[in-house]
Amino acid sequence: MIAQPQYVFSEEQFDALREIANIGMGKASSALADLVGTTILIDVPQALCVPIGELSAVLHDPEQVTAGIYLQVTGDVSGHATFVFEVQSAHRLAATLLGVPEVPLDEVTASALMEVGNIMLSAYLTAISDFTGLQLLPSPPVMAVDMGGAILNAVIANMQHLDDFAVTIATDIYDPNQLISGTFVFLPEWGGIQKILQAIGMG
Amino acid sequence: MGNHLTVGMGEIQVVRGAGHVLTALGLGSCIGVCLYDPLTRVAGMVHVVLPKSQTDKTGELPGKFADTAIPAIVQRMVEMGASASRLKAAISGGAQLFQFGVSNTLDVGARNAEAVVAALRAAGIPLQAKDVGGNAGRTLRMVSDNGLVAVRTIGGAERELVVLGNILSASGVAA
Repeated sequence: MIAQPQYVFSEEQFDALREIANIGMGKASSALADLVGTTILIDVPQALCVPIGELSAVLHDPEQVTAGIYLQVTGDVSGHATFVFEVQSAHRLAATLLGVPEVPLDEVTASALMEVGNIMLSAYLTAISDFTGLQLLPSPPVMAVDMGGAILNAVIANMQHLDDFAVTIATDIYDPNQLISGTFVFLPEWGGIQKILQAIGMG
Repeated sequence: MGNHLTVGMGEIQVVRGAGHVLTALGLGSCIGVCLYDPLTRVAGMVHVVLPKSQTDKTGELPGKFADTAIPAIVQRMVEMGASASRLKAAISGGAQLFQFGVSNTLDVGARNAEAVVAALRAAGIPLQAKDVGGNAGRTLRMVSDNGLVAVRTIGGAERELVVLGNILSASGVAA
C-alpha cells in the first residue's frame, strides 16, 4: 500500500521546476563545453513525482554500467545532485581531459572525472542559487562506477526523509557526436522543493 | 501463467506457484531479501532501503525499512498460504558503492545488512545464504519453481547463490 504523495504539485509548478533545471543545465553544459572544447546539448528537463521504486526509470537503462558523481546539497535547499554518465563516455571524457588517447579508470582518472562532475554540478546549483536567491551549497563529490540504477538507489538511501514518493528533476546531456552522454538528476528534499517554488512566486 | 515482476525500492512482491521470476535491479546499499516456502512454493522478495523506520515520516511502504519489511513480507506470504515456520531466506546487496572521494560517509549498506539479519533472526527465519557488502551493485533474481536465488554484478555472469527449495535442514548460515 503506497500512501499518496505528501504534497501535490500542479502542472505549472512542474513547469517552473523544469525551467529552473533548464537554467541550471545551461550553465552546467557550457562549463563542460569549455572543458572539452565541443558543443554540448541538453534535452528538455523532466520533472516528476514518482514512487521511489520507479525512480531509476529516469535512466534509459538502469542496468547499464555508468560512472556516477554525487554530491549532497545543503543550505536553504537540501537535496542530492548526481551526474550519471555511460562508462564509455567517462573513458572518453577522461582521455580528453588528460590529453591522451586512452585511460584506465583508476584513482587519477576518477579524480579528474570527479572534478568535472563537481564543476558541472556546482555550475548547475549556482545558477539555481542566482535565479532563486536561495543558498544551495555542494558537498565534496563522491564517485562510483556501477549500474546506473544501483548508483541512484544508493543516492536515494541518503535522503533525510525517505517518503514513498520523490520529486526528481532529470536532464539528458550529450554532444552531437554521441561521444559523451549522461543524465543529471537532482533530488530535492520535500522542504527544498517548496522553498524553490516559494522563492519564484509559485509556492 | 508465469510472469516477471520487478521489485523496486521499498516494494514487496509475493507470488505463489511455479513460473514466476522476481527481480530487484541495481541493488546498491539496499538489500534484496528473498523468502521461500518450499511446500506451497510461495516466494517473496522485498527491496529494503534503510535499516530502521523513521517515526517522523509519512510514507506507508513498510518494505523501505528492515525492521518493518520483514514482518510485512512474512504477513503477505502467510496470506498467500505460506507457513511462517517453513520460510527460508537469502539476502544480497548492502554494498558501499561510492569508492572514490569517500571520507567518513556512514556505510548504509553494512548497517542495512546487519539490520536485515537481525530482523530475520527476530522472525525466526533461517538465513541460508548471503552475498552482501563489497563495492559492487547487484541484480538479484529468484525463481518461484524451486526458490533458486541468483546474483549478478557488473561485468560478471549471473551466479547461483542458493536454491531455497532444496534445503532440508533448518540451520542457517552464521550471521
